[in-house]
Amino acid sequence: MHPLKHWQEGDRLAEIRRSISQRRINLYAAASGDYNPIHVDEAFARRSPLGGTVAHGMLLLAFVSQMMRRSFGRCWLEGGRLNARFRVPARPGDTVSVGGRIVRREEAANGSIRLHCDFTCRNQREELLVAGEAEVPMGVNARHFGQREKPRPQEPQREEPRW
Amino acid sequence: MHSGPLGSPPCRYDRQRRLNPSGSNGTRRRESGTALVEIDYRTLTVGTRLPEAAFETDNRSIAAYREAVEDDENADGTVPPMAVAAGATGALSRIMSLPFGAIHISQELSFRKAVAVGDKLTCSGELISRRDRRDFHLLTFRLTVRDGRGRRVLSAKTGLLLPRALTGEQAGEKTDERARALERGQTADRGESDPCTP
Repeated sequence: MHPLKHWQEGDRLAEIRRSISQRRINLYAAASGDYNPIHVDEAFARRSPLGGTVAHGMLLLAFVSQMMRRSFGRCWLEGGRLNARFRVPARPGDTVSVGGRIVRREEAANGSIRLHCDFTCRNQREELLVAGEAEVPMGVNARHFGQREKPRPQEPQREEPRW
Repeated sequence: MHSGPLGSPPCRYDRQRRLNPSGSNGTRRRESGTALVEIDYRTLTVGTRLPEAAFETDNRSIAAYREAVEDDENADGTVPPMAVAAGATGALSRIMSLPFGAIHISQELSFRKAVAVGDKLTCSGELISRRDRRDFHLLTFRLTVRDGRGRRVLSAKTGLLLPRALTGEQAGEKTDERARALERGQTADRGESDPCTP
């Protein structure tokens, strides 16, 4: 979705779906350096109250960030904010759906627009894994980005020459 | 494909600048020939600043990160912002010893500037809130990541829940007493240790 889309309150962000596997968790552990055995050691995790390995919370937030970047482009990279609460861990075998919507659109006198969103990550059983809010500044020049473009006056139709 | 984690240069603890030679709230360990300090969460008090940790966002580590999170957007050579956040929390986990049962319960992130692949970043942290309850500790850290020019690129608050059942502590054990004992070097599980109070 183009970042300069005409965003309005209630608009939904394009959903992202990702499958969680132990391989993906291990890859994330290697990439992030977070080798907490609750993520990567199945024997240890089975004996813990969680009963098995779980995905890193930051892995789920990476999916949230992907959704935000797809929706808002560079505006997300340079001024995006999010606040997330982890409710239920994602486990190998889960399919995580990340969704969000615009809950408020703030327009300042100088023309800058700030979009407030909420987002959720749910598994295939519709359990809420992560809930949170995000903000995206659309910039001072965002007035014309965030508003529907005025239709251009139609040019008089020229008659195509007949060949 | 595997490569070193984000922040792969081990966190070098500038002992001259940060450490107070008389106190103790970290145990020193050695990895890859580099002296590191592992801070014990039990001894941290609100306001304690963690040592700075440097990490790089090189092509290999970012490619490994992208593969892990299935991020195929790489149009403008910028680092996925959550890769910077992962590098920062990874740096935190290498500095501070957390029990295996630590649970990440909340995360706030504020992305200030896009980071280009290859940028060298520095992460600093501070404990800003601590609640010790009968069955758990709740710690909140503020993390700040700056680029090579000192510009802030990311601010974060990380909330961790540490259930006592998983940390080897007895329910209701008074953490401040334990912390004081640790500071006096009176517990058996302490090795050589250093403080990191501001």
